[in-house]
Amino acid sequence: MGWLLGRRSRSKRSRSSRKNDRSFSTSIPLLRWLGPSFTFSGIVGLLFMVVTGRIDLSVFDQWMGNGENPIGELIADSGQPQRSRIEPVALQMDNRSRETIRIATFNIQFFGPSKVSNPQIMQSIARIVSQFDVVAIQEIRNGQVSPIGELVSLLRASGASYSSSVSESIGEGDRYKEAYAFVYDQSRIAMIPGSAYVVQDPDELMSREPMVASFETRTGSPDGRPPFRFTLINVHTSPSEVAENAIINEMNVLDDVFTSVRNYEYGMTGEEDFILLGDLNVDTAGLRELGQIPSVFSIAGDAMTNTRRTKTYDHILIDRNMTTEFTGRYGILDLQNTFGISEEEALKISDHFPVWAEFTIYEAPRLTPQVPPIATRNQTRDQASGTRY
Amino acid sequence: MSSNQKAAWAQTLSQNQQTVGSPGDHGGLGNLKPETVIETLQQVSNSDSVTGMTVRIVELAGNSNDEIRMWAAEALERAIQPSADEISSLIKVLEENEEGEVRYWAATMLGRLGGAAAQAGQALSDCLDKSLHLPARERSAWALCQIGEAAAVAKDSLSKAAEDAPPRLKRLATEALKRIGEAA
Repeated sequence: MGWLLGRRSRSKRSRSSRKNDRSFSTSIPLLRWLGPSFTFSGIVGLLFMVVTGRIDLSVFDQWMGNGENPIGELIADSGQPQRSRIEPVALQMDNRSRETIRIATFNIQFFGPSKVSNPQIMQSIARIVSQFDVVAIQEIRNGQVSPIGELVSLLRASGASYSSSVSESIGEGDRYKEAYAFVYDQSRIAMIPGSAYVVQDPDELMSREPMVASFETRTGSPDGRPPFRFTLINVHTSPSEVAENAIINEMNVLDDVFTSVRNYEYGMTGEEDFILLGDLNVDTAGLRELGQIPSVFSIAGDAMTNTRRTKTYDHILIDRNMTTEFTGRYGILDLQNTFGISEEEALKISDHFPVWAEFTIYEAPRLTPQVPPIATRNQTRDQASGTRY
Repeated sequence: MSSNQKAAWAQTLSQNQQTVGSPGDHGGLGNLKPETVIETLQQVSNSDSVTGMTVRIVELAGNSNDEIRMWAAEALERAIQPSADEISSLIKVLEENEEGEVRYWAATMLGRLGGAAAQAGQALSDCLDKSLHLPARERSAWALCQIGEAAAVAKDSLSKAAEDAPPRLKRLATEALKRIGEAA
């Protein structure tokens, strides 16, 4: 089967990124107000947004307020990767470790105009995202208003310094397209310029091709220790295409995406740390060939990640031999307990919980040869179609 | 899901609905409020398995309201389990409704029924041949593949698609032909 994945649509992406950056920065005069150049247009912009309801000032009370940890207690902490048992641990919103970062994946179901127009939901989403240094987001429905632009705007209005990279809309048909995004805290993470792209798929093997981008930590280390640099592969599979009766199961495609991106990035930049994360719509048994890449595993395993706590959909996968920056801490952010709300109310935010994992901010010394492992799995026979890939 | 709950959803979604497949009606709402329909679809999509509402929700997948259409698709993707007694209605929708997304979901539901939906072979073959909506054609090929041997009536359409179609459709048609051939 022909494979051309892993090639960058760099020019298209960089145009798109520039466009996003431009439209974001020009549509949010509030940023000027927050900056050192305190300008008249910034004040006018702020007043306009308050008057039109784009900013709910009560959000400041929640952000600046009482020092309570809004995330609560249902965060898993485990020193044993691959265990699905979730132990509670509290995260401190204003007291992030200087030695570690948290990377998360969050499917914000139908993240489009309807949610953007609901301040309570947007504030909840902003509070969730603010717990993490980088969040891979799925199910963004771009329209006249950019949901990610609005989210980043809200985060920045709080004094945080998040930024984003958003893909073009991807998917079957005209109406079911959705975009990916990476939202990251610029004070702790830098995105490698020009590194974001959507994987090309000329053979149409996937219904939504993954988005890739590379980042590195801002360590501020005086001793010159190298920052943790990593590449994220943001994925949202189609449930139909990972089901038992799929003709070409996307999980048998994603292993090739992972290795293609890894080989390409390693060849281009020497990158060694690859993290595939997103809504895969399967539990670990359903990972198929993706789960057979040597030493690659799902950090949260079979933890329930849907809001009803009945299914495993979302994963963060790393190569345990290469990405030794993983500290062993990971979790599922339970929206109900985090916000003290009912399941019905939590479902209004999303039908998925965010999944996160913690990594050191410094590149770990390599104990193994400086060559990424090449997948040497045997060809396996797809159960449903009997087709060899 | 209790039977009472299901009955309530069905009643909400079918209130004063238009005739199935009537011209120009893609999941018409009659006098229903869109927000009521959306809320019901959200409840359905958040359930584990819902039966007996397939045809109405397939129709709603063609509604002109973006949010209704999206939630209908979510319900069909996540929760709806078609049953054998809905096959003839699904075939009728597939034949008479020209909306691409409605056909896409009708074909998908028929495919989920596998060999039990053998009588849908001709309608799926026609959709594969004639629909202008590529995803609907792809799902028709996929459904024919799921039906297998009993879909032999679609061999010509599948052969044509296997020779000359976009990559995904070509692959699905080729696989369907293999299944039909292997089973024969």
